[in-house]
Parts: sequence; C-alpha cells; structure tokens
Amino acid sequence: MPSETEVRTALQAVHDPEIPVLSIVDLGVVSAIRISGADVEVDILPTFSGCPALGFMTEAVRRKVAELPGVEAVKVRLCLDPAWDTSRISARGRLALQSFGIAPPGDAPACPYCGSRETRLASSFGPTRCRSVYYCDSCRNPFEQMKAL
Amino acid sequence: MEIGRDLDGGLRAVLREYVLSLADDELVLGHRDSEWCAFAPLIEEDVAFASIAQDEIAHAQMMLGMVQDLGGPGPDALAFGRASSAMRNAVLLERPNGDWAYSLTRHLVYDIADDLRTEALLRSRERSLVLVAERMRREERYHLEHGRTWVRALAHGGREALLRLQHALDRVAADSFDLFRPIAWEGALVRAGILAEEPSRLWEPFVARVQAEVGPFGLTFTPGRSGPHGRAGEHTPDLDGLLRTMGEVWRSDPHAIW
Repeated sequence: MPSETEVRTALQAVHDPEIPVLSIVDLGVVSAIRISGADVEVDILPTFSGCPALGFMTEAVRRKVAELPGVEAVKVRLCLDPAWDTSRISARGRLALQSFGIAPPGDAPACPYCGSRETRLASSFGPTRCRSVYYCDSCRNPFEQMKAL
Repeated sequence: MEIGRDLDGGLRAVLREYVLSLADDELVLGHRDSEWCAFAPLIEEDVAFASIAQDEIAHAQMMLGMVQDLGGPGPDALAFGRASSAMRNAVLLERPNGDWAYSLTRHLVYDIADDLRTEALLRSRERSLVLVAERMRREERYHLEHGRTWVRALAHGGREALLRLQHALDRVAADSFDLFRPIAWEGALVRAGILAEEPSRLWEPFVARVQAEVGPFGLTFTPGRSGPHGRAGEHTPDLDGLLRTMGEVWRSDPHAIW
C-alpha cells in the first residue's frame, strides 16, 4: 500500500501540458489523496473552467499513480471544493512559470525577460485561457502573465 | 457534492428548469462569441472573443452537468440534441452578432445581468450552486472589464460610434426583460432557500446598473417590461440556425470526442 507522500511525490512528475516546466502539484491542483488498501483516489481541482488541458491532466494523474507498486485501482475525481485559485501555486511553481517566460499572477508583473516593472497590459486574453498579454516598455518584448483568479 | 440530493421531486424539477435557463444563456452566447473568431476588427479581439466563448461554454457544461444530476440527460445531449422550443435561453443571446457595437453592448449588458445573478447565487443554500457561482465569477470579471473597456473606447470614438452604440443599446433593451421576467416557479425556489430572492427582483437593480454604466457617455438604456419570452421556449428562427451549426458534429457521431 503506497503512502500519501509517495503518491504526491509521483505526481510531481506530471506537468501542465501547456507549461511543461510546471508540475501539477506546484500548480496546486492536487487536493485530497485517499488511500484504502490498493485503491487510490485523487481529487483534482480544475483551474480555469474552459481549460482544454484538464482532460489530459486527469488521465496523466491516473496513469502515473497506477504505475506505483501496490496500486491496483486509481480514481481521479474533479472537485470544485475548495475552488482552485492562483494563490494555490507554490513558490517553486511561480519560479517555474517565470523561467518559462510567463510572469506569475499578481499586480503589475515584472518582465520575465529583463525584470523591469515598466510593463503594461496589452490584452487580458492571451494564447491560452489562463494567460494575459503584457508589453515591456524597457526591453520592448511582449510577454505573458498567468491571470490572477 | 451532488446538487439537490435532499430535495423532493417537484423542487428538483423546478431547480432543473432554473439551472437549465442559466446554462442555455451561457451556451448560446458562447456560441455567438465563437463566431467572431477570425472576423473581429483586431487580432487581439479574435483571441478575446474566442477565450470568452471558451469560458461561457465551459460554464454551460458545468451547469448542464448539474441538470444531469437533477435527472436530465447528459450535457452533450442537452447542448446538441434539443429543438429550439426546448431551449431556455433569453432571446437576446440568440440574436445574430450584428455589428461590433451590438456584440459588445449585448455582452456588457448580459455580463452585468450575470454578475447580479451569480452574486445572488452565492447566498443559496445549495452548496453546489454556490461553488459554481464562485468559479464563474472569478472568470466573468474579465469579461465585464473587457466589455466596459470597449464600450468606453467606442463612446469616445466620435458621432457615428455613439449613434451605433445607442442603436445597439435600444435593440438590446427591447430584448432585455426576458433575462429577469417573473417565472411561475421562482417563488418555490425562494421558499425552499435554494435562491435567496426571486430572480425577477433583480430587474430594477439591473436596469439601474446598466444605465449607470452607459449614462456618463450620454447613452440611455430604457427597456420596457415586454419583449420575447425565451424562457418559455419561444424563440426566433436565428436560434434554429445556431443549433443546426452547433450540433452538426454531434449529430454525425454522438460518441465522438473532440
């Protein structure tokens, strides 16, 4: 029978398909883990409700947990309680976002390329559901920020 | 948490009807929003409308899941398999997109209505309704801001822009009462504590808020207590066309996953 820590550690290797440097544990979507004998149940909190990566993440979680020794059945449940919000992203997750060129959520984001605070919102709606587009007046690059939710 | 688990059959049916009306509003407007993709005046707006469409349709999907929990068919069958007479959306949302001014004005007016409606849902006794409302509100505030920013920008765009906005507001006003028209069963939901107040009581706050939003630009919102009755299944041929397009893939293969 696996421990909750083992399951959580295994899930560190499951990444957001649209932000491959970000683990779903650091994204804060893994909520409760229940283990009963060889059965494991994982609660996943959906991020943005229209996120097309959700189905992928659910399936990846199921497969990853099923690989653990002593696990026979895995159930992944989508759960709205507690509601996911961007404050659930860990410090490590925020750093991962930044290294990927996406400013972490928050007011007046610093440019992930040059660090300048001279940035302005170009559009609230970016290339994926969870990102806005900013422009850096200092290094003159457009960049994305994960929207605060 | 499954919705309405401890409600009797009559109340479940009434709640199903109410949730269906909310879901259909989001579904139909979400489809209209998606029609702007590749046609909006700016590429940023192609993206914005496509994103907003994704949100609205996802909200519809969540609520259609609740309708299923309350004893209805599954979300896909509900979204793609119904005739227009079984749709419960307000007629305002099925109107064709028209010009840019109409699309933005309709969205802003609807987003204000939705804001009031979901705010009221936060006071529901049904935990699952509260959770869905919380989730939607976090995303909807971006829609509200989008509409506001654009209406403000257009209102400063000279005489023609202002005329088009006023014309759009008049057309939206003519269809607005449908959003909050009193419905026979709403009292039962309030008595059961499922809704904190009858949705129709939001009508006056809604009109006042829209007017407060557009008044500073010299625009007026003057809806009457009349107009179409979409909640009762009375729709226009425009909805038939929309449903035909939206359900095309599903009808060709109901088990397809995409």
